Amino acid sequence: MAGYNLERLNFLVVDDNKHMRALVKTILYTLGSKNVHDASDGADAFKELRVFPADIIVCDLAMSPLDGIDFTRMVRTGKDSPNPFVPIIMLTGHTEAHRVIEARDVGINEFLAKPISAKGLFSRIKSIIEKPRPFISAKNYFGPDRRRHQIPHKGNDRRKTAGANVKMPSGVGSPGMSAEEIQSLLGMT
Amino acid sequence: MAGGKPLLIEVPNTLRQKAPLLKHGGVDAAALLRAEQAVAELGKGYLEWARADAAALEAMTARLEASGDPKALAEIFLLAHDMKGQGTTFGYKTVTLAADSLCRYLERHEGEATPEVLAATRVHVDALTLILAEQLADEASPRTAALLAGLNKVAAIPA
Repeated sequence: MAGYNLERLNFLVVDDNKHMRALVKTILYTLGSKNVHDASDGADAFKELRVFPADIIVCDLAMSPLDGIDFTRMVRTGKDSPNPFVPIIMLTGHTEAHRVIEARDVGINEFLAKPISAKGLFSRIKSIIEKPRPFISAKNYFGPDRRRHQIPHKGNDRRKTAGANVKMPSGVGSPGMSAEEIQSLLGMT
Repeated sequence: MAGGKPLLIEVPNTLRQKAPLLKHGGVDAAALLRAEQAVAELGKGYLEWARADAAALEAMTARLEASGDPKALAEIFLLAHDMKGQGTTFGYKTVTLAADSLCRYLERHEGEATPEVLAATRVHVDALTLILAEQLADEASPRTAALLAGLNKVAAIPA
């Protein structure tokens, strides 16, 4: 049976609970990952990201002092963010829609509700590998396209496609970056 | 963030190269089964650390009762939230349900260290300690169901 080889993917697991970190790391290692780093809160994770080029971040929502939403905001829009485009899977025990909407609106790629299972985690990883979404840089949002499905849009699509030629409106840094910096991050230069 | 028209940025998918789809091997059904087994193995230590969490919750609650400091409520919330997340994963849906009741209650009464909130917090913490001490894993057993129903009633009382 065919399957993805996760051996070369770098994972960063961010959770303030050591047992949950151990759980996620156990799943990732058993699925074949070799490079799994962890951090106990958003601030530590941001530091780790500067020295560890994570391909996918698995992050808890409720953490202290810097929670998953603040951390994601720093990654997506922080001027010193090492990689604003890194895919983020958010673990959540919250069922309230407002927390999930808040997390979506700071640029989360995928959600995984607790209890965590290997199947559930892998399905989110698979989705990130198979169905990457373009990023949107707008006045109030920078992150993966929140439209998950291709539904015909009746009005004008106000979004401008950047493709391989990113052009930012003048004076704009999406996450505080120039178009050239974005192109550089995307490996276009 | 952009100030003008929204910009769509196609990010090159480098993960496809780094995580190739193999004809044999890679993450298949057998690998997922092994991972679930590894989780089950990890869960063998669950009762021990969950009891330690319950003891920490008890200490936080005692501090809250002594000081009335609303900051302690936030600490209690975070730990109860962790316990909620782990319970069902390791076969204790009862812990998840009791901790969820406490979290929902504390969310509604954020920062309110009133005698009513302290009393409701105490009841939940005692219930979590009892569930773990007596290994009440079956949420459907009459005793546990009554305990959980009681917690929901306490949580529904306006503070």
